[in-house]
Amino acid sequence: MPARRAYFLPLLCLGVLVAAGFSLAIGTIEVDWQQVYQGLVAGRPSLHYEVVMGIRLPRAVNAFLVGGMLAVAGALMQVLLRNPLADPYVLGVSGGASVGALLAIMLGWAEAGISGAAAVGALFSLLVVFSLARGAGHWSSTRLLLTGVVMASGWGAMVSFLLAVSPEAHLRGMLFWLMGDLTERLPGGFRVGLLALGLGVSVYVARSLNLLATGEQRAASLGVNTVLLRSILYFTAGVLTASAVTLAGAIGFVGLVVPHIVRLVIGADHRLVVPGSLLAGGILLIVSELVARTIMAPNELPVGIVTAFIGVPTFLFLLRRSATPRS
Amino acid sequence: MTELSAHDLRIEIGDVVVCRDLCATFMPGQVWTILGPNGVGKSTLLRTLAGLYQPIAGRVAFDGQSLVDMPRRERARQIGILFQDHADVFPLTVTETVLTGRHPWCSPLQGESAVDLERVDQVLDEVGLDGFQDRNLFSLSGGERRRVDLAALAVQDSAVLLLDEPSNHLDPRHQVTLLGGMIDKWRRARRAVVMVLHDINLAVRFSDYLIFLYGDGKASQGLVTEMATEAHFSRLYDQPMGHYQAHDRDLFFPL
Repeated sequence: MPARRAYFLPLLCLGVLVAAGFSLAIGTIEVDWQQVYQGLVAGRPSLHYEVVMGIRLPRAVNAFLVGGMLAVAGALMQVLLRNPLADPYVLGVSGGASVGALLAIMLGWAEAGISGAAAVGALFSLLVVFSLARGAGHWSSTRLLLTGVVMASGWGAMVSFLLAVSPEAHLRGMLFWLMGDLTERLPGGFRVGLLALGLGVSVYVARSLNLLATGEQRAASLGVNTVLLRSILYFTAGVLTASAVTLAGAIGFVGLVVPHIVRLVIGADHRLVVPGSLLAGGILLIVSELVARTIMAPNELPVGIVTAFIGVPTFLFLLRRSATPRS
Repeated sequence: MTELSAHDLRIEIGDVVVCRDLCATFMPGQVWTILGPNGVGKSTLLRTLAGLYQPIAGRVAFDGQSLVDMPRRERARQIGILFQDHADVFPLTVTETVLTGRHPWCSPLQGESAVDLERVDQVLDEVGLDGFQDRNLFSLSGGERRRVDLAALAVQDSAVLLLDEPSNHLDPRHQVTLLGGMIDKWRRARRAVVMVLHDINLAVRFSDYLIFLYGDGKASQGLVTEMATEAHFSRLYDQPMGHYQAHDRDLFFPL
């Protein structure tokens, strides 16, 4: 058992709590905690209570969920495609969601309708890529990757087309959706359940992931049903991505870089990489959300920009540090 | 008897007919080597024997039971295979990589036990990689990486061992003492070993039986003492072969 580095997981849990604490405490309004406390205990409504519980908390929870989902999806996708460059969006799930959402915005649908359309688009893309890539029954990583990448660029063209033809009034909303944004409504139990289920499934198959990472044939020779495992990976990653994208738009970078950061720090054993990615992804997005709404206050940046600003230097630093000479 | 047997195997890859009606029985304690020119399908035959490639006709059985009817985990406990090469994507450590060989013996949620770790340390010592436990795979040389593969196969503790070019990347000392030593140990432990080799002299030195694949679907097999002749090798490789004796060994070389 990889007990050596398992102690990173409680540390990351602590990190989530600390990040969430900062996220609740910091903002344009200096919070009077007395009022928040009274709101909690005595149910007495106040501005400060409303700011913390009604705005900052839901956003922090959403940030954690979306970050966790994207990071786990990214970790699974990288093993599925045996490609360290893979991210949750590489196979076109977010493209499908974007096209659905943009169409809904063009039609002037309400927020719920936009999320619904994004979900339909994402699942549609997921199923199309799966059935095309399977072809005659056998699906290699390369074939899946090519099918997904081509599908994703098709969706990309559709997105550009929709942006080009849509009336001026919708453009800003569309661009913000594409860059990723977190809502201020508390997530339903459905999403929490989905993340928990995704984590459960991924941890259950985590040892098989280590085998798959050493080669598909080798995993099969060691008793892994690779066809079933890869289908599980594909749909788990796909549904997590779809859920994250419908909640917050296509926030970039988390799914690509968080699993690598976790591998660099904790090691490549997927029994630790999967839960570690969930926690680290959650932390990255909570912090990004905090920075996004405070650094240029009262203006707010799209969260996706901040994830890249924080993630890129962190990743490059860790990569450089790990590139030690042999022995 | 827990033997691996091939019954009337017909294997094709695209237009290449690897073998027609191949029958062979690999008994415990026997060492077999498959020889043949490039591209005749030696590796494919080995993968078929592992149950990873479906023959056009015929079947492979372990202990009388067809591999297709065996539960995957059970098959993995009985038959282990060393692949010709590997493509590492993520930097697992040496211990983590070798532990993957214990997979068929662990339940899905249960981690490897202290016993498994002890077994890994013991085998790493055998392959001369003691002290490499926490090394990153990407930091190993080709020969060291090959020995990690051999260790991962050894900890699988299977009754049948299939080796695809196990001597790849190994220097002469490791070919003879390490690989040869492991094969001798497996023979004494009554395991069946089937391998693919390009080095005729290693094949003759290590094996009890040889299978020749000629490339047109024909195959022949027999005791190494009967099969290893200049004439047979010349025909197999379509290349005149010479032969001399030194240090009590028969040595073959292309003329």
